[in-house]
Amino acid sequence: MKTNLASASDAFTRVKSLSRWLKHLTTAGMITFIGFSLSVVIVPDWFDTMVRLAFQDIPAPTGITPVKRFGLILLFAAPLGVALLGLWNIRALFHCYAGGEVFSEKPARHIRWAGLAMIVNAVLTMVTYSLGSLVLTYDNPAGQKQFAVALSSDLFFVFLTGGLLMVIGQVLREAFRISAENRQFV
Amino acid sequence: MVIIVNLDVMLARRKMRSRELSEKVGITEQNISLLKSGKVKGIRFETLEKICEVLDCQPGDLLEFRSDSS
Repeated sequence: MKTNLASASDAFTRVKSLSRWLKHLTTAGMITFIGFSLSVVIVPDWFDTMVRLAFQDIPAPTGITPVKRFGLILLFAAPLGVALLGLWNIRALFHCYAGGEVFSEKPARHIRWAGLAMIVNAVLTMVTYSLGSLVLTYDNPAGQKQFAVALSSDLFFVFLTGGLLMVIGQVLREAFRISAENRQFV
Repeated sequence: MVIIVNLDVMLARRKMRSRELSEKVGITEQNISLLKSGKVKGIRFETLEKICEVLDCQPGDLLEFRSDSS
């Protein structure tokens, strides 16, 4: 029968190897994400297709002009940047765990930042959609300009999950503080 | 108010080195050193009991309260 210490060591080894794998997966995801985003921006046809898919309920009889394209790229940059920040923190978190740094302040900080990025991203996605509908229809004939508001259960769950991560990160930070204080007892 | 740790005095009286005490009590020599210099947040009763047993003394021989005014 394994002792508690041996079981804990096995679990720790599993955490490290799983985190190593997840770190590589997150890195691949980030590279793909950046590459895809850049290619969509660089190729106008791809960008227009993406816009039509994202705003399929918004009529744009005047099409996607270069001015609109530029405005939408600027709008989309915000949630994309925040999403990248969240992914970077998730990767950094797995990097900490893969290196054995589990119960310290750094992982707790990365968890909090990832949660914050998710919350901000959820809000920005809603705002971007609304402002995007304005950009897309600003030159529509009178009576056909639109300001759309989109709410979805997906965004709600992203928002909640981000909040959960922030709370967990805060709890872990407090746990680390208590642990550090206990270590000062002999 | 300050708690003064007189462990170094007791070690001198019992002619014992920190290393020997750390081995008998079961804590690291570094922690003994931190305890001697008072750079710890607290001491567990279990540790205090073992130190008193090894040095044949009372907790009061090891710990002294000194108020700011004195």
